Amino acid sequence: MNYLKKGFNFIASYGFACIIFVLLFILTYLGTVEQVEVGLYEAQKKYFESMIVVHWFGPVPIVLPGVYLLLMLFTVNLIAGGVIRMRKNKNTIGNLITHLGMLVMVFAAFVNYTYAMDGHMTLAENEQSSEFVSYYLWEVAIAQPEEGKVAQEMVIPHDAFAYLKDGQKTFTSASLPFDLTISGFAPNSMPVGAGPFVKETMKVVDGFALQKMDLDKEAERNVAGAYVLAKEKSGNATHEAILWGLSESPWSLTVDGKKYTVELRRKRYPLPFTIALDKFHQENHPGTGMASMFMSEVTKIEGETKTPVKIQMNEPLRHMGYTFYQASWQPPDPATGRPVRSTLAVVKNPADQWPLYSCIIITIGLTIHFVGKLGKYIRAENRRLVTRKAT
Amino acid sequence: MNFALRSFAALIAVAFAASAQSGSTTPTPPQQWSKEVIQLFSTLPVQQEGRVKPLSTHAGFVMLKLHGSRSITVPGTPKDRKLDPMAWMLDTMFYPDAAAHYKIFLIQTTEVVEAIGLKHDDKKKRDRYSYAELEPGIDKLFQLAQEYHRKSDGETKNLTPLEGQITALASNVFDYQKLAHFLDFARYDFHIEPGSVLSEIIPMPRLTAVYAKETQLGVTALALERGIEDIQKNLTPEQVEQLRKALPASVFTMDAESRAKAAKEINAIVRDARALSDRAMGLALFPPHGTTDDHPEWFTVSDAVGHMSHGDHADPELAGQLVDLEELVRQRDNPPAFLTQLQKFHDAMVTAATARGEYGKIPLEVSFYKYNFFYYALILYVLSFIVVAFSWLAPAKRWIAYLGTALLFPPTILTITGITYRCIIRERPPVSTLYEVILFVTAVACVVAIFIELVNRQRVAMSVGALIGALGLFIAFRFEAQQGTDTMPQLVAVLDTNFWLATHVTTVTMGYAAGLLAAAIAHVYILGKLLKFKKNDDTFYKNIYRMTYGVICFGLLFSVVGTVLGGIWANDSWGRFWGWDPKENGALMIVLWELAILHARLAGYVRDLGVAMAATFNAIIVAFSLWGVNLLGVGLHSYGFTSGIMPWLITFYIIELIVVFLGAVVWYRQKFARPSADAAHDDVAGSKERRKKPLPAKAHKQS
Repeated sequence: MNYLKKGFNFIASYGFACIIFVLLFILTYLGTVEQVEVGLYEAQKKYFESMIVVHWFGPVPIVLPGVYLLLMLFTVNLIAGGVIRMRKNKNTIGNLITHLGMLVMVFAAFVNYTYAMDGHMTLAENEQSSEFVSYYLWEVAIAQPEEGKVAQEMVIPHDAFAYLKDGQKTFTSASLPFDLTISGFAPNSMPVGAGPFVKETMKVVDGFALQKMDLDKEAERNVAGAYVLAKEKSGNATHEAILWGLSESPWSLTVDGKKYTVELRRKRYPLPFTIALDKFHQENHPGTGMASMFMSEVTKIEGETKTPVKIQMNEPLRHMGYTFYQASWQPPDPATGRPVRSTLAVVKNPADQWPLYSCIIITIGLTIHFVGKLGKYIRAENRRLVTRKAT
Repeated sequence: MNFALRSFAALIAVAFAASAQSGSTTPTPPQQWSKEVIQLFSTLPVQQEGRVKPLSTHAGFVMLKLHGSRSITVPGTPKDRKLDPMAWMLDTMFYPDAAAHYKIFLIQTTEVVEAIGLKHDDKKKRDRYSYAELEPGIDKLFQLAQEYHRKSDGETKNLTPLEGQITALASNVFDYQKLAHFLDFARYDFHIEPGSVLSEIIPMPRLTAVYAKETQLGVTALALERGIEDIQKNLTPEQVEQLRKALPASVFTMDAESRAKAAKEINAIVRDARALSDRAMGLALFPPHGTTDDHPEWFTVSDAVGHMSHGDHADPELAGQLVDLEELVRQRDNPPAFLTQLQKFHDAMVTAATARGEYGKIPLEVSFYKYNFFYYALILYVLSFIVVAFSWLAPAKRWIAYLGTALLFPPTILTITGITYRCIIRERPPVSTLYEVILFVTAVACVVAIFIELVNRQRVAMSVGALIGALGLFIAFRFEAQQGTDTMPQLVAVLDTNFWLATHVTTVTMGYAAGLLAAAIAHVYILGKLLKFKKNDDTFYKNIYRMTYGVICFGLLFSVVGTVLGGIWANDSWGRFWGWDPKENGALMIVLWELAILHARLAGYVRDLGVAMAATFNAIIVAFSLWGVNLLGVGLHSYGFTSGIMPWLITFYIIELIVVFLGAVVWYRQKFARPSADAAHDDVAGSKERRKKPLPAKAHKQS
């Protein structure tokens, strides 16, 4: 019992909080500096979304708790020390409010990390879409296209094939006449023609091999690739191909007289409504190449209801839990005839506005606490000055 | 910068310079521009870098970029003249041959001069050069700059320091050339044979006269080349009549050889006029008709001449303004006529800018730079610091301390006034650029220091306030000179929101200011202890500790709120509250460290000296957050990226680490030189006993 009490006292202590803050400080610094070398996405995974971090100081590995673990410990410390154990009186009311505000913040971060979806929707003028795509996640989509019909798709999600320990995995479905084996997934890759530059160890399919490449610092630039093998259930016939994220068309195969397509693509999230881009505006400050404004005029389409909306920097569109932000744009390309395109970042985050509430609570709490302290300080100094004058 | 394009244009300009100047008279530099002339030019609006500003502001930053300061001393008779930016710019534009001998280019190292094949026998390593001195090496300079531009993909960070300086010099020389040749179009007299076809069409051998008749010149040249009969075949009788009226009479009587020669002369003069006007692209002086939404871009001379001769679309008002400018240049050696002509041109430009609603802030901005608030504030802060220093030498004379405190008010008011001027001119909250961060941090730190001084009258806060004021404004001046660009630039689209600039940016910057002020006060604690200043006055150090702690609390409030507000802004503009972006992380690090300090104090891990050491280290974190992350060159806050401050930053880190180390020396000395009981209040850390029981309990009560 004594140990339990001691344990509780420790996790509720200022000292434990202090240790957590210092460790968070160190990890934040390391994760910031590391971004120069590996980019934000990798640094974020390594330092900020991990339980344990191994950081190399030159040849020396240092094991540290990851920010994810530290935030869990911080939450426990905050609840135990900053709420439960804290004395509740008029002197601590500000602190208590602050700590509650921080709990809201941490909870918002947890909800965001666990449930939020993000991606983008890129449209040319007069195009529309009812889905957005992930920046980082991939999926394999299998469809049986039929003329005049919208093909029903079966989707193998990112996590099912992106982290294969034994290098390959076979997927089967009762509704498909073949099993699909995915192997050699590479998060950043490029198909290369078979030739003297292709290593002997690289698998060649239809005259091409999949060249693995270093991860790009900007993770959204990575283009994944993988080998797939379709084995017919009704016989031993196999079909093999390389799937690549930038292929112009999906791989098609015919099994039992029916045509199927298999595609590696960025993960798609369906929307319960449609967004159509009517017009995109971009303006520079006069005489400069610096953008002063870019804005998408879109129409939100829900059944028969069409609502025109303007989306621009700092003025997103929020609807049904989804938020659309003006993220970037691509100029027209006269060489290919590609028109100007607007990219809207799309986020679905159940805790979207919680940080705002948390900020308000924390501001109130800290203001009460520190104004109280300031008042005490001023009164004490006044007393001291009066005493000094009297002597 | 599209360096390839600019350099190419520069080479053309250089190549053309000789021919243009050969047509001008030998220049005589003026002894002094009259106040009226300076005032009129200063308040002349010009559109540069995306905004309309006074010409004097533009002159100031061009001079700062080239020269590293806002004044230059040039040879004169009977004594040397000290020129402000406006006077220098006028000399450069109106007397380019004389200005070419002003030592306007600041070169940081003679290696740059060697690299472009010039000698520097009588020069210091860091010295100033005139255009005339650099001219023999300019071809090489542009060649190297283009080579480095290709090599580095236009990224300054990919260049060595020497390559960076050569590239910067090329950019400066190009800027200079644009100014020096801006009025060539008005100086130049085209050569026209008396009695020739050209002389029948063009009344005066000037650029505006050529452009005013550009259509007629084109038709005449065509008629001379192809023959009038050939052209008439495809025209209606009315058009034939118009053509006959447009053509000079002599065209109809010339033989074939004369016609060919005349056509060649016409084509040559049109070609030369275009080349000449293309060089006058340095300043967008002419406000177009219409609203700022319809026609946001102002015209340079090069743009404006294109509007002189477009038949029905010709703009006679603009043509008149161009002729006025041309006439102004030609009156440069006749001061009364020059002033009259300048007033006429100035009034026309002001009227046009006012009609577009773009002149309102110009006089205010001229006043802002004229009053030089921050310069005088810097002097007064230094004065205040000197008085404060005397107050420490004579502590019994309290009037000196009162005087020192009183002297802190004027510079702080001046600084705040300057910041307010900037807010009004820009129609923005006080902080939207790194330069403004320095000003705001200085003002906030000084206001807080004055407040503390008024409360506790220990002279520590006023000393620190005076020092921070002087240092802050000195750094602001250095930063402005080092960057050499307008400190009131247009903002990128994401920053174009006064709500978030007023809330997040202002709040988080107040947090930075408090962090630096706390560190400065902590320096007094550590250095005082180290030097055994007031060694028996525990109350003195206790007060400093309280000040440090209080300012950290103040800083934490604003850092936390500012950082969270930043996240909320990011959520509105980029779609995520927190993205672990370096700038966000920098702000978070300040929050985490300040939280660690407060909780370590409550836990008994640190006490007075420990808080002072930690607060000092916080200055490094603030500097990293403010400047260090901008040097990393990664993240979404790319609008804040900067360069050229790494040596300063590293020097600051080292100084602060030395102070922290000195704090450790103090701790070591106290721990091993004094009985532990005496060291109770100033231990870097509490004793085990204190940590175990009394402190947390007390701390809970306190909190």
